[in-house]
This record gives sequence, C-alpha cells and structure tokens, in this order.
Amino acid sequence: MTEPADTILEIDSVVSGYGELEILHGATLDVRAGEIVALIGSNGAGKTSLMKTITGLLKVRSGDIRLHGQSITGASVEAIVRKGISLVPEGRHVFAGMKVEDNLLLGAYGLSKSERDAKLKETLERFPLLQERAKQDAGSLSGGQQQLLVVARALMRSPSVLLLDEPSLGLSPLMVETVFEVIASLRQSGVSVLLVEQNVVAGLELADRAYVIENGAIARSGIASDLLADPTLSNSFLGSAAQ
Amino acid sequence: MDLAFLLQLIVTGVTTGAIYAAVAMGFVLVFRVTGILNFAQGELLMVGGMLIISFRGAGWPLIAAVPATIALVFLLGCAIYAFALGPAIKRGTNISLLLITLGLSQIMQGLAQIGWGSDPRYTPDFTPADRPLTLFNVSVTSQSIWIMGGVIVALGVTYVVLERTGIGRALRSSSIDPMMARLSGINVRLISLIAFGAAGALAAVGGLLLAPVIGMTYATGSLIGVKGIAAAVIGGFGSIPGAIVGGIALGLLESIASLISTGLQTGISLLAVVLVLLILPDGILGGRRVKTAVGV
Ligand SMILES: Nc1ncnc2c1ncn2[C@@H]1O[C@H](COP(=O)(O)OP(=O)(O)OP(=O)(O)O)[C@@H](O)[C@H]1O
Ligand SMILES: [Mg+2]
Repeated sequence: MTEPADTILEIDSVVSGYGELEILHGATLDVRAGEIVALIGSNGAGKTSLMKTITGLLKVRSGDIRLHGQSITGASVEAIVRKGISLVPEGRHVFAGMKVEDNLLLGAYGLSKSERDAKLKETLERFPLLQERAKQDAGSLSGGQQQLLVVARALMRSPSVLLLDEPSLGLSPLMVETVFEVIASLRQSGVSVLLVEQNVVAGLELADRAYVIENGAIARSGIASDLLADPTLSNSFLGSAAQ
Repeated sequence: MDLAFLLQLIVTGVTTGAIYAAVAMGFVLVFRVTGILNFAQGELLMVGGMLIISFRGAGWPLIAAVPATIALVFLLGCAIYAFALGPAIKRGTNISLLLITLGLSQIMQGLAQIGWGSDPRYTPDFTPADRPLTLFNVSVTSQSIWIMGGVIVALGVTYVVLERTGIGRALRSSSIDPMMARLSGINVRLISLIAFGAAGALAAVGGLLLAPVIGMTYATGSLIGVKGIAAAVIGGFGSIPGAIVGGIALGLLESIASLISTGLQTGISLLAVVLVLLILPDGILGGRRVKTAVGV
C-alpha cells in the first residue's frame, strides 16, 4: 500500500493487549504532517491502549507501526520517544517533588546541554505561566497548570508526533481553552497531533481529521467537520454532548 | 556527667553516625529508584573495607587505593543489579527480590571469608598521629575527622549529582514516576544500574573510612547493613538530609546506649528506633510516603 508522501505516523493492522486479553484487533490509521487527528470512541474502546501501543508501553503482537516510513515496532519506549513520538498520558504525570524547570529539562533528556538549555528558555518564554513558577515544586501547581506543564514538557524534545490522551479532563473551561490553543498552535510548529478528547465536539472542532474506534478497531474515519455534521454519529455516539 | 564527657559521647556518636548515613543513603537511593530493599548493602561496605586494607597492604598510597576501592565497589553494585536483581525484577515479587538480596549478602560474606580469611584485618589510620587532637578536653582522633569529612564530601557529591545533573534528574524522576520517566526517553533499567553502582560507591566510602578503626571481618557488613536500614528508616527514607539525620541520630543513640551496657548497645539503639517510629511513623524527616509503583 502506498501512503501519501507526507504521512508521518502509520499504524498498520496493529494487534495488542494486556496478558491474555487482546484489546486492539487490527487497528489501522495514519497521521500526516502538521495535522491534528482526533481519536474518538466510547469508554473502554481502546484509545488509551492504542496510545500505549504506539509508544511501546504495550507490545505490538502483529501489524506494524512506522514513523517517517521506518518501522518502530518492537523498539523500547525510550527509543521510540527519542525518535520523535511524545505521549501525554491520561492523568497529570508531573514529577512532583521536582522543580518545574527540572520537569521541563527531563522532557529534553538525552539532548546536549546547549540544546536543552535553549529549548528550556524557548519553552519558558512560550508559557509565561510556567516561567513564573519555574523554581516551584511541580506538585504545588494547580491541576490545570500541571497539565500545561506536562504538555510543555512533551514538546521540549520537538517531537514529530504528539499523542495527547484526554488533556482537558478535569480542567476549568479557561484552562481547557489555554490547552486547546496550545494544541492548535502546533500546526504552525510542524508537530502532528493525535488527540483523544472526552469532549468529542470540542475535539472534532479542533481536529482536521478523525477516527472512530470501537472495540479495538477503527470503525469510521473522515474529515473532522464531516463527522461533526453527521447525524448518525452525533445520535449514536456523541449523545447529549452534541447538543 | 560533665560537659567534656558529653561532648566526647557526641563526637563518638557523630563519627559512627556518619558511616551509617553513607550506608543509609545508598539504601534509600536503590529503594527509591528500584523499589528493592537491598540487604546486601552492608556487604558492599565490608568489601570496600577489605579492598582498601588489601590495597594499602600492597603498598598503594591512599590517592590510588581510595579511588580504586570506590570504583571496584561501584562496579560490584552494578554487577549485582545486572546479573542478579535486574533479570529477576520483571518477574520477581518484592519478597523474592528481598530473598535474592539476602542470598547475595550471604554469598558475598562467604566469598570474603574464602578470599580474606576469618581473622579480623587491620590497616593504619590514614594520617597516623601520636596522640589524638584535643579540643576542650575532648579528644578527636584523626581518623574520626577523616570519617566525618569523607562522608560529608561523599554526600555532598551525591547531592550535587542528584540536584544539578541530567543523570540526577533521571534518577529522581524514575523514583517518582517510572512510566513517565520512560516516556521522557529515560532508560530506567540503566538508571537502576547506576543507582546500584552509586549505592556501592557510597558503601565503599563508609567501608574504607571505617577500616582503620575496627578489625574488619567478612561479617562486619551484616550488622552495619541493618544499622544503615535503621538510619534510613529514622530519617524518613527519602532524602540526603534524612539519611544524615537518621545516621547521626542512630550513632548518638548507640553512643548513649554504650553507657548502659556495651553488650546491649545495638539492642538498645534499635529499640530506640522502634520508639521513634511509634511516635513518628514516617521517620524524622519523612513528610512524604514512598511510592514506587508503576502507575500506568
Ligand atoms: N492494565 C490493564 N490490564 C487489563 N486490561 C486493561 C488494562 N487497561 C485497560 N484494559 C482494558 O482494555 C480495554 C480498553 O481500555 P482503554 O483504557 O484503552 O480504553 P479507553 O478507550 O482509553 O477508555 P476511556 O475512555 O475510559 O479512557 C478496556 O476493556 C479495559 O478494561
Ligand atoms: Mg483512556
């Protein structure tokens, strides 16, 4: 199968799971350059499992995952991250007990000191909220500030693809807006995004394309605005959120 | 009890406590990063002591014997992880890992007995003096100054590495959230290996400083290992200040307990540890509870 030239990440018939349990039954999707792709599906559909599989936290049992056309299937988590895939997992995974700036520097772990320092400076300028709190314990930030820190940290490495698993969960409306603005701004920085969003309408409004995952396989895909307008989708799946 | 006598007790206590602090720090480092309680930590100290005695016995100057000892025990710490605990950590339960470390401590004692014999081994003070330094009627031996100074340097270096370097950040992050550490591009297994090596180096510092003060035998490590754990627990099991406070508190307790009975010194001091923990369950500096579970 030939892919469009600008495809960054390809997930090709991937099967994975936990122990005996198979969760993804041959999921296929792709993310292209500078694109925001939404991944939607009901609770337990396998969104988080897919994110974990892409980053190597879950083993690929069959199928293939390619980044820039090169297979990363079977590579270690740290190798995959260093190749350019960053994951912001569910929950707020700051390193509590460490300073905000140390958290950020960890996002650039393995880069040279000059690259790290330059990236830190750039990131702090981009996120004034974090700049003000650079020397503060990351655990002392509010939930929203923590989520912003985790996103900023994931960007420290200038990834090709950013995977976001429910980044807005539990945030105040204002903070959701801030996080979404950051995500939207990634288009200009050439970072592709795969976004899982509880608020399906907001996610589809932000995204260029979307995939619907059901029972561990992709059930539908299309232009995000088409899916948003599709009555069958909004009735069966978006439910009350679509109103 | 006059003041000089009290001060003397304190000097003795702080000197012993410094050794415990070094052992405790290694213990904490390994536990925080890997979740393993390494009961072979005391044996690493013993090997450090034995090595410096052998090197100096062979005529090496301190400037060569000290780094060689530290480097070798660092490698021994790494080897323990690479060949015994690392392979077991994926499948092993906490209990089985604990048993492995107990087994390792016995093996190391056995090998030390074969290699270095059963009789106590001695080495001169680093800077032999005719008589101890006397300040306000308190005598301080030159070796006890070496011990306190050496431990301060070792823990100072540990502090700077942990707080200021990429490796230090990687060590701390791995102890806080191992999954997120991996997602930050950190090879957590390599970091675990380094934690074991560093714990070995810290134990080696304790052992090489202590060697001139006692007759070192293959069995010296086991009791000191227990004291190191006790010091770590008293200190709250979390930080360098905790290890120092815990070590010195235990050293002082022992020094006071020796007034009651030298035979019961260890028993009394460990009993005191229990009492401290009844009052402060998280230890003296333990604000935070330890978490090592991989929260995926
Ligand atoms: N650690 C695990 N061990 C075993 N099964 C798991 C584990 N994590 C998830 N599962 C199962 O995998 C399936 C998919 O879970 P997953 O977390 O990927 O769903 P999700 O789409 O992210 O759901 P949500 O919207 O609730 O976050 C579920 O049936 C879940 O029970
Ligand atoms: Mg999920």
